[in-house]
Amino acid sequence: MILRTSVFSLLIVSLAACNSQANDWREQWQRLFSESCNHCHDTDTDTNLDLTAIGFDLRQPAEFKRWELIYDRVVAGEMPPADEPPLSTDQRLQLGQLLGGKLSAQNLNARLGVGRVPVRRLTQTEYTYTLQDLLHIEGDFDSSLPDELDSGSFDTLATNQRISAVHVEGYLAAADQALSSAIQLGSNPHQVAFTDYAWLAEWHDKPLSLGGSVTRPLEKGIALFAEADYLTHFAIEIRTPGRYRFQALLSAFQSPDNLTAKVILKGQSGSAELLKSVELSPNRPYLLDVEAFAEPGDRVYLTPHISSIEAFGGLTLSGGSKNYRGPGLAIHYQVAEGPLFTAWPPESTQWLLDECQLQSQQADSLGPFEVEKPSDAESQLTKAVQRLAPRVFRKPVPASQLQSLLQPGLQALRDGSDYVQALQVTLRGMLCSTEFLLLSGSPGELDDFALANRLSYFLWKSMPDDELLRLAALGKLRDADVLSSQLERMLSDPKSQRFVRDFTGQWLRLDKINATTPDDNLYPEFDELLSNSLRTETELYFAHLIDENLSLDNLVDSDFTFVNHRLATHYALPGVEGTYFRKVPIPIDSPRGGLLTQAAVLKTTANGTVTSPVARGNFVLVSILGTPPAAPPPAVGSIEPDTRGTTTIREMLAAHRNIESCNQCHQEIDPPGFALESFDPIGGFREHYRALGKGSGFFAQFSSKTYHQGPVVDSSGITPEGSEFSGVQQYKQLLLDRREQIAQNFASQLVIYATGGDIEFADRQEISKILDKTRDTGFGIRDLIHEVVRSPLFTQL
Amino acid sequence: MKSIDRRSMLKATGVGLALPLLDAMHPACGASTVQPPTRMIFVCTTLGLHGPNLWPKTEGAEYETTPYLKLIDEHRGQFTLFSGLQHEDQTGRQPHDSEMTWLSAARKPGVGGFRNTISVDQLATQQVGDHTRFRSISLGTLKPQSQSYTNGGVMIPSQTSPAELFSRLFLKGSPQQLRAQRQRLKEGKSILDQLQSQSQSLGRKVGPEDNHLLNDYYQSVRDAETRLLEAESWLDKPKPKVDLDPPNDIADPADLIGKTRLMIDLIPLIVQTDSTRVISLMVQDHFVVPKVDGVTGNHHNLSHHGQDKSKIEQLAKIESGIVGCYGEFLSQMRAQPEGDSNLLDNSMILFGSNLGNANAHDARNLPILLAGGRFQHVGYCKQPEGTPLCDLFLRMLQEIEVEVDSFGQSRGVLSW
Repeated sequence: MILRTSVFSLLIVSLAACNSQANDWREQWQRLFSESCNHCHDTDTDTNLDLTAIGFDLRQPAEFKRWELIYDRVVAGEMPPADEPPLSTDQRLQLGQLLGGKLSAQNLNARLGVGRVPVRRLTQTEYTYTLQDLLHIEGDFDSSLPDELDSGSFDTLATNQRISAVHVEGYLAAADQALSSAIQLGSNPHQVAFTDYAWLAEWHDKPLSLGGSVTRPLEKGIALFAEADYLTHFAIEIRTPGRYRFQALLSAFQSPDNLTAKVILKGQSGSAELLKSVELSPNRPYLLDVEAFAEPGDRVYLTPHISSIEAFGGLTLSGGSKNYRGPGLAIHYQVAEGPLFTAWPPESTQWLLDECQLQSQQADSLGPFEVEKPSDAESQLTKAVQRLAPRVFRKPVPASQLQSLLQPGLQALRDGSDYVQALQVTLRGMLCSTEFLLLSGSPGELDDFALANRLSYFLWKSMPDDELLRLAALGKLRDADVLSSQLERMLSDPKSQRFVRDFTGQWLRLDKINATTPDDNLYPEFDELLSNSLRTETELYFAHLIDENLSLDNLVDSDFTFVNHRLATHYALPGVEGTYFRKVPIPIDSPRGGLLTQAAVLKTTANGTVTSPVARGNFVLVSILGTPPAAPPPAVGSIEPDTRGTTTIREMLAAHRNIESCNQCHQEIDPPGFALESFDPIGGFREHYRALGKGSGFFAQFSSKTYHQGPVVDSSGITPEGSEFSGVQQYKQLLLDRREQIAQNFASQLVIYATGGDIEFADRQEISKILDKTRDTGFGIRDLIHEVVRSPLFTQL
Repeated sequence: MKSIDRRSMLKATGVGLALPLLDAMHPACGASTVQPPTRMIFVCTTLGLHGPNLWPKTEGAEYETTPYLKLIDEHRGQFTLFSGLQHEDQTGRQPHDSEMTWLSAARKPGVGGFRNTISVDQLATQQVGDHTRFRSISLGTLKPQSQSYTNGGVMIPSQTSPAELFSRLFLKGSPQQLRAQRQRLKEGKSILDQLQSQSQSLGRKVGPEDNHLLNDYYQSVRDAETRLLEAESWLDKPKPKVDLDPPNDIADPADLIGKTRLMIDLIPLIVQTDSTRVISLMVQDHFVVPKVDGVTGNHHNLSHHGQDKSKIEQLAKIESGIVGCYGEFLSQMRAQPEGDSNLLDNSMILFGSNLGNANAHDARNLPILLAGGRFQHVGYCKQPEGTPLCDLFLRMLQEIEVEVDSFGQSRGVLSW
């Protein structure tokens, strides 16, 4: 299904014409079917469409979908195919007008009194951020909630969301966990711990085979020569979840070149997160300072980034660390402190217990604290709930509702619970209620509060802040200038990073980037530093397009990107030192530029071992162009990868494309995939495939490599329109010719993501208007966001 | 080993529970007429099983053994290996999306507008879930993903910690913990009450057509309340005692086989104590090189062997470990007498994968091994290619007395 702009202009005409010829649309279309379609689309069809059995009741969602598909394919001129009697442009127009009017009318009719967007709930991401922002706490509280289901679109899309008893039980548990974390009345758990290296004494000389001999004592501190996770951890024992600070004085030891040091947080379950990496220059000590959220059981350690083969080879040869001359990481001292709270009891506690008198049990007022028994607990609870409810529900709460909210708390007081317990029960109930969990509004224009919520869940993935709520209360938020300046404010707030991460994560599927791990033997260069750099590039890049209001064309091609040293090496971009990211120009002869050639996208669209033009082509059609190919017929299998280095996937696909029913879609899917064949599963540029093993030939026997050069990559192709391209650079130029299509998809994706309502047939016109208003700036990304927010698709339910 | 404390069981039955009588109790009750319950157990290894190492060349009970079947040959006569079974239309948005639909057979997993449907195990709980402390138990080796989906297509998170599971099943908890649990339940009830009453006031504002989510919400609150009441009633009943030390969790994700074994070892205990009658276990890719002798690649990459011989050899080592766990599990179930037979006879145990050929992500011709459950087992049984796996699910549902005449993509009841 390929949809072009002509469809849009047509639609506008068709809306005007929809009533006059309402009655004979069925007849006219049926005439077309019998003349040009039924040869293939009859009861014996191999396709998913049998036109002899098609129904005409557009109120049936399945029928509606079928007719929408027919509309798109016929109006775009893709159907009927070339070997059937052709349709004149006039015929096409007329058929389109007839059907388009019907489809729009049905769409709008179905929404009467309901609105475009059904009630939706907070996604798992939004739920977590909201709890954090509301209660002033950190950490994940969604472990008891079921994962969001992958249903082919954004997790915000209302029609795909579910709520089950599993959710309700999860919400009860998560609220409990969050409130316990927010109310801290014990002693201030803050501690400072220096690492004492004395315990390492026995490890310096222990045999390598027992894990020793990779460190050496220095006058001040130690040197570590290989990557190890059990020798250099910070001495702090983390008992309370919170932010911790890790500092160390580091230098590159015996290292003629720069040396990279890593700070890694190891979780109890064995997970490892790279908190930071720094590049150390020889003879220049570096003061490391990292802050991170940590939970009980987490340990943080320091390690050099050194190839383990070289390190252990060298250490073995020199008989251990004592006489080793190779590079290592010198750690002169390391110290950790935390949890870091700006006040004690923490802000979260003070906010929730504002009505209470807290008494420190110690003279130093560091706690533990006792909550003074209120003289009238019921009225104090009422006061607290009055104060908290509008924040929890993100809008004013009528008095009648307050009474109902109070019930569980009052019951608890009557049953003998103390004030804090009663408050906790009340809040737990509120955090499980529809007002907290769901986003809704009334049909028509959103009221100020609903608008504030839609805005802030779009760009912050969380509740509106005081300013938004204040403007909503004043009734000013719907004023176009106010809305626009709020949008500017929100985009410059660091919280908009959440939008960048979540949106690129879902739109480009980057949240699945680690679903596969590259084969160590085929891609030994894929290391932790590279793996951690991939998403950062795309996120910085996308954020930059927003910040600078750069053209949408940059999604396809650009003359700059964001890299650090490791990624620059991967891309063969010279002159980039250090582990921090920066904007760099892309040389004219480099194949990079745009999203498609970023390693994050290239890795996500491969499976770790091999690339598939089908998977990548499908990605371009779905995510960039918004023209997903039809699903393969039920009986079709998939291509069986063969990495022995004899056949290429292109050769296998060629056989596939000789079958007409396959070719219908594969002529669309394969070309972008072929263009991207120049990139391996980790996003490296290649001219040859890699094959496993040393390979054959005279020199192979001396090779220590775990792979050898396979067949030559052919990244040329021909688009269904007949344009040839020799590789990815030319393909990108062809793709840019479809700018309008890309803009239409991008705007649609933004609207779906931001509102939770799908783009239906009748909404295409509003999308066109967004494009009309942004075309002059070349579809500036920031402009597009502004116009999406101004659009009735956003400001109305 | 693993005997049950009779007194605690008697106490449990004393409070009017329709608990089936376990073998250990027969002398005390003399109720040999009581039939042991039927159980349903599903074990999925999500990266498939390498076909050539699994399928025999010859059919029937006297099949010519294969590298994988050799590992369970001692159970010949107790199981049937099927070929030709599948769910149709499993090309998902992501190549491994058929994981979601192995037990539900919903079409086009993950593709636009996809919504999962109830899984076969959860459908069975509607018949047998009320009799046990847990309606069903879903287990995972790596993350809380499971293949159990509710009526509305929501995944039930799996339990991944054998230690925690053991404690929930068999450990009594201190009086303090019990008190806290009781308090929690009470608070939960009062919160859910309040949320219910809110629905009445909201009901007027929001029309019924407003959308499914609100309806879902209130239905879920009611369901959660029912479950809370159930949990409360079980709180007063002593948990079964077992002669076994609580297991220690294995933290190292590389110990794929160890983790699988630790989890699967708990199943005979769960069955024997009738803690639930419906269990699903998902053995997943652990994203690291598994600690198996001679294996240097990670499990997923090896599954995409691309016909490379050395990769297939390594893959076979991992898969043999998993099939081996299944074999040991069958032995344990057979060794435990129950009624006039043993646990295996009273349990339908289906082991297999959502992928028929992981190298190509092909979800057809799935490896499916059915053991136990008083079926007439025939060794290797070739079904016509494309036979719905749901036909077998339907057969199992009928065995456990769920009154349905179709499930998912079923066309009939599988017989062999």
